[in-house]
Amino acid sequence: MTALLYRVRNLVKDYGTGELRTQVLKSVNLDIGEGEFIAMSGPSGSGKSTLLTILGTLLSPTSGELEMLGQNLLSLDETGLSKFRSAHIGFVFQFHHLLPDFSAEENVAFPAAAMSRFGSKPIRERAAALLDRVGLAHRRTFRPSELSGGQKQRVAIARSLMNQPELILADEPTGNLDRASASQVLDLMREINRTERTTFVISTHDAHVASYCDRTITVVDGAVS
Amino acid sequence: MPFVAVVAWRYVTSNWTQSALLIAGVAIGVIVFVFMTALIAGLATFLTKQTTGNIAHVSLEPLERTSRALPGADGATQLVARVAAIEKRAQILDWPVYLRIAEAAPGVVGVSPQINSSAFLIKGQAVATVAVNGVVPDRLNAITDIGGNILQGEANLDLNGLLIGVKLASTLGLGVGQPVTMRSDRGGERSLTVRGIFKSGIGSLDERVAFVNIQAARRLADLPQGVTQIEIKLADVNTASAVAQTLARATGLKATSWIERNAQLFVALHSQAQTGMLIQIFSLITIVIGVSSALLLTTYRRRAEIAIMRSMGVTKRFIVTAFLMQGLFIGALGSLAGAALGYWLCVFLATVASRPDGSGFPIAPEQGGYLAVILLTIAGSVLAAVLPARAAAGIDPVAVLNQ
Repeated sequence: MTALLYRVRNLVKDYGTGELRTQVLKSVNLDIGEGEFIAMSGPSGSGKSTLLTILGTLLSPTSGELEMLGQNLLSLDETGLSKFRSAHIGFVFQFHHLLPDFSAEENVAFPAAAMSRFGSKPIRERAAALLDRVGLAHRRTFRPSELSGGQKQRVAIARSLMNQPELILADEPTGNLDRASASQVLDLMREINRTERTTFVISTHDAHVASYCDRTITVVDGAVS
Repeated sequence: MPFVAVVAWRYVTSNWTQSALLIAGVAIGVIVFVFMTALIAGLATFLTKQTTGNIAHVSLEPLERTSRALPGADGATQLVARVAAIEKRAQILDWPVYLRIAEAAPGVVGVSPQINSSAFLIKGQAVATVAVNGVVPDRLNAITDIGGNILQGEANLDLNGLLIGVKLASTLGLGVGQPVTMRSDRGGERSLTVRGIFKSGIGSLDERVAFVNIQAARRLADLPQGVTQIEIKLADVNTASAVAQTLARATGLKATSWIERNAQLFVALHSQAQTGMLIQIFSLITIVIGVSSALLLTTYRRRAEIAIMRSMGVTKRFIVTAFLMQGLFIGALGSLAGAALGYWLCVFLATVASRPDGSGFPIAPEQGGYLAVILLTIAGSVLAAVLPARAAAGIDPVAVLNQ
């Protein structure tokens, strides 16, 4: 049994108030171990994206307990959450969301640079090493508009690794890619998971993605099975 | 450079067309500010110079005599009437002494003792009322440059010499060398000869002032010893009040500065400065509104980027700072460009419109208020960025990322 990374208990998320109140997540309980590679599947509107956003501390739950690395996340204020997120959680989105005015290397360096200085040598070196790791050393100075869809997603993965987070949350990371690029991206994430013991939670509709994973969490109608 | 500054600068430079337009807008506001400041300063200097160029900056006159009332035996109020007609003539008797005192005062460049009175100038059937300025011939140009403005004849003030303005000459039909009779308000009469006709450009001087030798004026005004006033010209007109105070204490005479005599000029200059300030304030407000609305649009355009930054753990403080710095960069670039162009415009106008006699477009390029406008514009632009910065920091990353 691996050590516990994330513990979720009785997690409830409501949207709206009064008669319009809708319960999107209904008492979710979840344990995520260190180094796991998890697929999160479920139909559209099941609450997967909401769960992923709450796990990523971008959204606060209506009630419940969230604990990561022994830290009670609901006790942190906005700045505390920002800092926690920056240090321990990385995101990869379906639409890469790279910053268009910055080069590939600057995009990768951004999460660390925003906390210190971009010009510092260790940050630049790590960003360059991560680009090399995702096979894009030769695209260092390219802007996102000059990269292909698969390349952009690989830059986004490199960026999510910049601050060496324990957990990476990926929301449909291959949803926008062709099969070959999707496999490349998944191979890369799996390799990082194996070599660095980084935990991945990948939200997906795709059975092909689930086949890469250790286990699959299914979210149906706001509940996890 | 801090990373937040790198981000702000990248945002300013990433869309040069938009930034250039915004910076140009700021620069135009700054040009208006600089132009108005330089124009108002130039006008003030010009009007002051025009006003003070041909007048005495300080005048020394005898103190007005006031009758003293002796207290009544039982403290009763007494009414004392001043009857000018029976008082002694107001004159400065020991004027040579005061002349030396005035000449020794710091900043004094010219002193002219004068006997001034009113008289009629009679030529045949034509009669004109004139103000007679009896001056020492050597000191004719001490206050007003009459010698330099002679149109016909010469600036010769012998005992029978008379210098009149071009308008007065035309009214009486007088030419150089012609005799004319002067009858003073004290009954004295004297035949004078027109030696020169001048054109000073000042209406009242050209129309109704006649310059005569002080000795001639003495007889006409029936003033055997004293002078009526001592007029003083200063190197720096702004020191007039101080010099007047010093001379009043030193001589015991009544000393009046040109500033007291031209109070209406200062009212006009003050109103002019206030109008200018209004225009300056509005140009600054325009800059602030322009920068604010442009940055608000940027905030909207960059919502997705701001959301992704927030998901990376970038703090709200970082985003606020990045937007404030965009305001700073735009304000700095716009104000520097505007100040430079404004200076160039003022110099251009001053050069193009200048005439050989020194008149022309009354603008003072060196007094454009450059440091003030640069600092105010930068501060205003940063202030203008506060609203967009707050809007940017308030973006909900979840709502944007889910779109």
